[in-house]
Amino acid sequence: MAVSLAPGPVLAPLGGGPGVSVGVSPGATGIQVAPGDPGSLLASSSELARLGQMLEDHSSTVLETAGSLAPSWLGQASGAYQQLSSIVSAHFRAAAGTSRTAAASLRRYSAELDRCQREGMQAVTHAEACLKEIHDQTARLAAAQAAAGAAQGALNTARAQATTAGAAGPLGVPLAAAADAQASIEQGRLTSAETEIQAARRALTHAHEDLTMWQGRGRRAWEEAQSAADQASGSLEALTIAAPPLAGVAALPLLSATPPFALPGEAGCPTSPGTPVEDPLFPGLLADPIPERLPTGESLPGIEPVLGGGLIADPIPERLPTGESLPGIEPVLGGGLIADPAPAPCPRHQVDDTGGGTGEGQSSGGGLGDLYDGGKVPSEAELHGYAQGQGWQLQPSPTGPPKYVDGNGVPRLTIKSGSARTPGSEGPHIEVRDPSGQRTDPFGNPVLRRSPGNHYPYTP
Amino acid sequence: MSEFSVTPEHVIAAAGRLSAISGHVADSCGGLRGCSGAAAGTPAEGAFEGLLGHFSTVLPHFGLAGERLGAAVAGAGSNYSGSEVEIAGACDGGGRWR
Repeated sequence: MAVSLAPGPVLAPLGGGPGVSVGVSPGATGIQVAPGDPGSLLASSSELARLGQMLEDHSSTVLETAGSLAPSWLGQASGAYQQLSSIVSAHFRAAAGTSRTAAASLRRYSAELDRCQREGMQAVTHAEACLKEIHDQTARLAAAQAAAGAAQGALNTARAQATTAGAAGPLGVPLAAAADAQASIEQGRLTSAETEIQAARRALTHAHEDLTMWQGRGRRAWEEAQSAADQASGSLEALTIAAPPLAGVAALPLLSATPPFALPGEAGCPTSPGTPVEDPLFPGLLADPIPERLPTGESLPGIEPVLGGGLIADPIPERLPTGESLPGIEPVLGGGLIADPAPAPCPRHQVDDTGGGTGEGQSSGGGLGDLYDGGKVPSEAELHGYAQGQGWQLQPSPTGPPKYVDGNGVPRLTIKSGSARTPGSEGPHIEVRDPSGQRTDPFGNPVLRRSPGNHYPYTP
Repeated sequence: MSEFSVTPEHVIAAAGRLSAISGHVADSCGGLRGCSGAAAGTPAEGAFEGLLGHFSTVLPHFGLAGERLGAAVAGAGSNYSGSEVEIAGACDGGGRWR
């Protein structure tokens, strides 16, 4: 059996610190070692753990600071401050938990990747030894076969000489004896060569079996690394943190590139009172025209046309009376904890913010939803064209799916081919996020990772 | 009616603790930026970079929240303290307003 031994791959050191990335492509051994740098992943895990600790510490800082002021500060502004501190602290604590979860997920993946790479590299090393053994034993077999052939030829010649000499009568007896002796020697050589052939064949069979075993181990290590990566991806993709409210800003949705409502003068905001407006996302829900004269009397309680439902609408005088003996100033906390003016909403029309307010991800106006209008299934090229049209950058990834990120680094569109290992995500589908990182369907409606809305198909 | 016993050092310290949050958050954001590429070449690269992007977008708001809260406390302390001085001057006395 002829086996050619190609030069083995250059093996990178294992378990190295950050920057040492292991990844061996299948060469002569047919074994692929899972790519990636466990050291860098572990360092990132530590960074996220530090972030989690920092956020946890500041959650306490915010609460303790509020608590330290509580005994000496009583009143309306103090109440607002205490309440806001409690909310902000809760956001810090939640974000700390998210960071710790991400850190744990990365730590697990790092450890599993490291183990899989070690096993993969071990498999490569052993497989290379097997290939060398196959090479050596193949050469040994060839040599033994050649020796056996030569011995067989010499034996045949000696036997023929002995026969010829025997036929010559008494004169041929010495020659016949010499030929018999030579035949006996050649027989011994032939037997040795045949023994060598059998040994070489056994060694070859063993080396092939070992090679198969190490190739199987290498394949398993690679698959386990892939599985660990899938688990880490699933965990990381599900994580999100919500920004805390800011002092002096009403509790409006944050992280929106544009206001969650149409401003006066903008498209979608009617210029005259009472104009009916069709909401593209929730027709009928938010599109009722607000009458010019607002019904604010006791006979129509509960109607509060100001955004926030009264949260920021209570007028707080700049100077509050504090009693005759102290006719001074009752300052509003921070000069604006709850009194800063919020952006004036359009009094006519509010729209949902899930589409980013720029037409992205909405069902009209050139959004991603247009590609799915009327049950259409867009092609992959159309999706690329849409993403490029938004100015998003294609994130280069040799192994991952095409992913477009916006200027803030938020992955807005991921074009996935699907994986048989992920139930529910087998077919080609897209994943969409809004500017805040919230998963949405192509129409801008919030979805979860495993929602059908997070699996809109496309034609590859 | 509100009641505020102003101890300027105490309020300043409280405001300082809150305002310091933004610096720490900014440091952490820098640390996270350094993690970019840590999952390069792995199937988890997209999810990891997505998480970093999301954190980079949202974390500055945490710093801002601390900053604004600190500014609010500092502003309140300053306003109350100013009132105290004003009232003390009006009453021609040096007692603490409580």
